[in-house]
Amino acid sequence: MDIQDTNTFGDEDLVKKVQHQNDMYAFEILVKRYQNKVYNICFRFMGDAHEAFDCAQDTFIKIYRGIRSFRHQSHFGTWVYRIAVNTCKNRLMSWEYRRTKKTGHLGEVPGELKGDSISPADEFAKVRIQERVQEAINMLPFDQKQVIILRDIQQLSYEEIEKITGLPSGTVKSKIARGRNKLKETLKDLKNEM
Amino acid sequence: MKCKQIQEILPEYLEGVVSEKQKKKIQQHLETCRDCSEHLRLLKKTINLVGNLPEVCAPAGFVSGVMEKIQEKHARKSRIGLWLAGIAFAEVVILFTNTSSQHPYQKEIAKQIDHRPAQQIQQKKEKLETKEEKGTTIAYREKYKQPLASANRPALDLTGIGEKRKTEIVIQLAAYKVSEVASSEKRKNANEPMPEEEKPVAKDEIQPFARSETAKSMVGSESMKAPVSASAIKQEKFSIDSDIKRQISSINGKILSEQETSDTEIRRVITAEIPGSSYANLIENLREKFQIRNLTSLKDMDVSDTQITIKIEIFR
Repeated sequence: MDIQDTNTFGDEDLVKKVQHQNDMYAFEILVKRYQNKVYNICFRFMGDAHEAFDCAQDTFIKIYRGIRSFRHQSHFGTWVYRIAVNTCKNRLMSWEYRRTKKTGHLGEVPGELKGDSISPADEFAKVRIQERVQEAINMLPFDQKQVIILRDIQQLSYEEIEKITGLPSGTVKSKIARGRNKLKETLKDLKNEM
Repeated sequence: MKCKQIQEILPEYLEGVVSEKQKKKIQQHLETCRDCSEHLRLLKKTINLVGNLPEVCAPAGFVSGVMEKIQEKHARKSRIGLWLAGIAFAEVVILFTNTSSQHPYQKEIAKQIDHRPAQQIQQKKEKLETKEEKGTTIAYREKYKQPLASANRPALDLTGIGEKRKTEIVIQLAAYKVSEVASSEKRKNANEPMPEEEKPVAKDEIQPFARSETAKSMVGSESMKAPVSASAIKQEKFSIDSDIKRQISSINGKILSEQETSDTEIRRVITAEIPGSSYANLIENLREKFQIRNLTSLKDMDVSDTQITIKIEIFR
């Protein structure tokens, strides 16, 4: 059975192939499956296409290095997100990044955007709003940023967020609430567009 | 509940994670409070804005880039592994070489010591002991410990060095050769008869058991059968003995003893000490005049620096 032709191989099967047979093809399938999710998380964290690219690449390299230590006690996707979040966190906290601190601007082409085909004017207005939202996210403290991204962008459950962040349930909820309130305050000048 | 408290838990209310009691209170408050209702509306819009952010896809070639990077790192790791393996192997080889061979200075000193006489080794030991007494560093002692130990190996026998070797040789001489007889000054006794049992021999032919010079000189003559006088025999013996002794003296030999024997075949034994370097000359001279019946073999022996004791046995 060709693993590329079908989706019959779940993440766990592919991970086992990599773990036991060092199957690079199986790992490539996993990269293909998670590349957009990981890149999107990285982009929302970093607010910059180049930084997102580097972080996403580092994330998959770390996944490959550590895949033999993955014990299948959680979903593979949860493990991938956790590595992605930690990679971005390390990068954001790094001296090098803070020295050349960048604010996210969607003016740079961030890979490929998914969206409906609309008029150029509407497209411009939409992009402008998206830029403002991303800037607002960038201004959040990291602990609020991570739960907002995981909950409101990645649409993950509270349980998954707890596993990824390692925070207790109540903390996650409170940080989500604070983060949302802060975003509302930041974006209140967009109330006409809302 | 006050507006501030309501607004704080509105995000959770939107999530549906508040209790039924809280939910009813919030709903009752929102019906009467326009600010909190507006706050809820903006909050919903904010969540929608964030939630509606487009998914940014990885750029083309991202997967191949990741895989290349992994392969590259994997190859680098393999190279590092090979380097480490190579270094480890080199260390093992160096270690093995060091343990299986001496240090060059050790080899050199051991070589020198192996070829120097015992006296020099003793002097070196004394020198080392003197230096130790004077507080020489341990390193100095360690430097010479190994070579000195190797000098005491059983294979290295230096006890005989400095003394000349001694070899004992036995030469059995019969009598003068016939050719010598002819030219001898003692030809004046030629008229004396030979014993009857003596047979004539051709000139230059070796006569193994010739009894006397006189008898040989009578070869072919009719007077052979004439009896040999006692004085002639005595003079002949004296002539032989003195000739041998003269030859020994001529090569700086030293007569150690000289004695008559009662043996039926050997008349006299002369023991002498001669230098090994002159041994060949002596034998050559003896061969010219006497018939050598037996000679201890010195074949393949280097006797040049040897003091030889020769034992010349003269037949009757």
